Amino acid sequence: MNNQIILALIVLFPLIGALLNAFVLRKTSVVVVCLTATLAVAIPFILSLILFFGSITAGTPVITELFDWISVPLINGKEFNISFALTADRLSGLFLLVITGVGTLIHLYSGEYMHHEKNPYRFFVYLNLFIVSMLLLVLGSNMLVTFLGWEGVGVCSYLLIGYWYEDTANSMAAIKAFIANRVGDAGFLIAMFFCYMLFKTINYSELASVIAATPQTFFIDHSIEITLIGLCLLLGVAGKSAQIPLYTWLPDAMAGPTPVSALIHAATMVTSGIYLMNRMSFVLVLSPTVMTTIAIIGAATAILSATIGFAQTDIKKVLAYSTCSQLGYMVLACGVGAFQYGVSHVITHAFFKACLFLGAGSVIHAMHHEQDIRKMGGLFKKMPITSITFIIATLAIIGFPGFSGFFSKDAILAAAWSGPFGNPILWFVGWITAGFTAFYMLRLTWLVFFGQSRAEHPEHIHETNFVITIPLIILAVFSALGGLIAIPEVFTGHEDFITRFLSPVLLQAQDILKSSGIHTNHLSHSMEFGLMAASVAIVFVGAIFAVTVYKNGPQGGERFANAFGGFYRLVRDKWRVDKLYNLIIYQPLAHFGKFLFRIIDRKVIDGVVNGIPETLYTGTSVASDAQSGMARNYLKFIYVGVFVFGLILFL
Amino acid sequence: MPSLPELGIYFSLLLFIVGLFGVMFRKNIIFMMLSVEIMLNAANLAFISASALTNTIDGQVVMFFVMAVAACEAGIGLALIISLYRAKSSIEIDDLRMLRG
Amino acid sequence: MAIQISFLIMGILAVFLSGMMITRKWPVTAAMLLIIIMMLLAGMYGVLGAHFSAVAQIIVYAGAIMVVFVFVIMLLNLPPEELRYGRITINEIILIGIGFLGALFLGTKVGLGYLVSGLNSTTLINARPPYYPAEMNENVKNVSTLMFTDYLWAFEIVSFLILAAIVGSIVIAKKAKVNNAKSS
Repeated sequence: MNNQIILALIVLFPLIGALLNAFVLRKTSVVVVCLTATLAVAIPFILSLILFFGSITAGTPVITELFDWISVPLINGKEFNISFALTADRLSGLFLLVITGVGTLIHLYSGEYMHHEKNPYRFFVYLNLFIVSMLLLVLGSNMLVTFLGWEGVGVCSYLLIGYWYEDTANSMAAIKAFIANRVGDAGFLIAMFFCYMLFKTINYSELASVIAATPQTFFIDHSIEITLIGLCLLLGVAGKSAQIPLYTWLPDAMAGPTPVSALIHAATMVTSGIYLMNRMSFVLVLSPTVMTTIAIIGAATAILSATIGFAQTDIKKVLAYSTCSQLGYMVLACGVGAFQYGVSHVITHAFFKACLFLGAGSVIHAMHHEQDIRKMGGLFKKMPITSITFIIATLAIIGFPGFSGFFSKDAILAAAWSGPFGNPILWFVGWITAGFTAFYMLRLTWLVFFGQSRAEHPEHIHETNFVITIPLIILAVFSALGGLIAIPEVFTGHEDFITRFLSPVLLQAQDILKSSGIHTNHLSHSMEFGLMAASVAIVFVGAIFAVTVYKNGPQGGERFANAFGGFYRLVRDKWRVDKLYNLIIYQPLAHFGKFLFRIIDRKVIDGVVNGIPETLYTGTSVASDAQSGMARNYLKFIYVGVFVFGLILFL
Repeated sequence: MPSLPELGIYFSLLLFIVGLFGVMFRKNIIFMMLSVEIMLNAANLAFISASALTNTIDGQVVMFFVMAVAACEAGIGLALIISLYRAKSSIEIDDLRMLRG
Repeated sequence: MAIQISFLIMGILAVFLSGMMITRKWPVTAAMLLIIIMMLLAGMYGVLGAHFSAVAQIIVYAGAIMVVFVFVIMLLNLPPEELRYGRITINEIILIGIGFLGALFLGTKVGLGYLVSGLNSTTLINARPPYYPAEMNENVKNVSTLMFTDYLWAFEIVSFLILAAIVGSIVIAKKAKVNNAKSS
């Protein structure tokens, strides 16, 4: 098998799995369905490994052109040609491994988690379709294939959030997620149009070569368009990766089953924005405005959602805001020009956040769908494996030295200080956020696993079975060790792995930065150690503070909350952003919709629709009155008709 | 004075109109059918007159066919009258308004 | 001249009697008047040289068809309240006038005008050997010859029509009886 076929098979297997489950195996038991779905992802994972360590690492991208997708002759004699092509280069390869690897574990986990569902096949069909879409997203050779995947993951996310659609709240959350994503998608689409307008291609490699060949003056002349491309891309990223202003859908998306939260809303889909920014890095860096905006939005999202995480009581909501916050870090990394650290954080985050979510799912499963952390506590003894893996993942996310989050986050913080668009203020925001992260994660861990049990029936709680714990253990191991890909130079003496690995992808962006005179401020080793020490310090402060406050259970937090009063309420109400959106977007639209319904729909459209038959009815009732049924009347009509006919002939 | 066939045409015209009035203004179906017979006879008279007027005999053949059709019409019509009278106990045309639109 | 006067009288009488007929109250009277009208018409046919038609008129119409009418009238034995006149309104009187005028226009202009112009043209005459009153004694032979040669198809079709009418009238008149039997 050559590489092209392997690449095509990677996308094909989950699709076959979805079709099989949807049409053939729908009546079979959950075990069969789950195994089919898991295999449909596990085989691509193995193929991805072959591909990754075969040719991708060697540096040659694998390109498979499946078919000509859109082929339209243009007026000027040229042809608008888009082929349905897949490209696996190093960037795609990393995402490929994460998607299929984490995806396999989560499929396996779902088999147990969704065991009691009535129609589990539906869930697995959606999951497999999601994997297909996600693979298309990261493998697309041009923006349109990526967009196809981009839309596909949105749809699957919608379907999976609304999986328990009988509950109105879930459906509303699904719709909210879908609409927020649509706004972002529109941004991506407009960016695509602008790209085609300016550069006459939307194929990534062609785009890169066109930009490389374009003289500097062109960019200066078209700086507005280029900025618009960047901002529209940013809007797309904000929609998918839950950044300000579109982040509000992600916490609500936790209404879906927990494996979905782990796979889609933590590990893969929400990171597609980071992928896109890496893929389009050479376009983004053309406009410093865009880069700065990205960095500011990333930092703002990071700190805003971290603060919201303080006051949440739903275990999944805390993790959701934490996801938002971590995504903010990644966007910040991209915004300051350190795209590769965004990717490294994507990978480590995929491990530890998936582990956290699956751990949370395990807890929820054991607690019989109880999600309120105030009713948990003391689970460490009852669920040792879940607890240990969850704690490892927590240490990873807060950046405890040695764990994966430490390296990837520190790389971002260092870049925020010293990157091409870096700024100490951005570093400071990221640094504070690191403390906040430590606080709310420790709060969560402490309330769930330590202290007194506050559950109603603590005797029923026991460790979940191996199908759930095995993925947890695997993910925990990777959470601990995943940081190896971003061990900074100061420890090893040579450039970190991720920078070296992604350099072919990001080379052009760096060249553009160099040619426009923007360059990385090289940090001295002592400075770097200093920053690292500072972040470790604030992590410890946040962690210890959390443990001190909550060591006696949630009532400790109430005193803390009372001390802050208004600020606490503001945070608990998520900064009232949802209310603000409700006020400035939803309400006017709803009123406008009501207006449309009352005036346009009722009066105009219904008026026209009902008016036509009414007019016809009136007209025909006049005509049907002539049909009196009285034969003599008919005869009179004939008579008059004959007379008129005779008169006409006579004249 | 017009020739005989021409007179015949005029008489057929008058007869036809009288028959038409009968159909139009009598409510009784039997009278309507009798009036229809008058109209048919008026048509026959026109055929015969035309035959004489043009010195051909086709008109007389057609008159024979008209007579046959009139016999059919009378048979069917009277059968209908009988069954209608059985069903509705009335042979007033205005009571039969099932064709009303 | 005598023939012409008798034709005129027969025509006037026929129109007058038909007017009488449509205004009678009792159907039997009307049927009897109609028989007289038919005989008058038969006489007019005879004057016009259509001997076969005159005989057929008396035998078929006055004899057969009118007997059926009278038979049905007697069978129904309608009560007097079933025999009302329709009330004639002003509108209908206007209608009568207009219709009369229209029919007159149509009759003279189209019917007669066409026939006279057809007489002058050669189409009708050339189609078949002309028929003159001198050959009147051969009328039955001429009519039947034409009927069984040029009009053979029409004759056959009319025979089927009559067959259908016979069957149809039986079915129509009988069906009600079957329904009645079922319902009772």
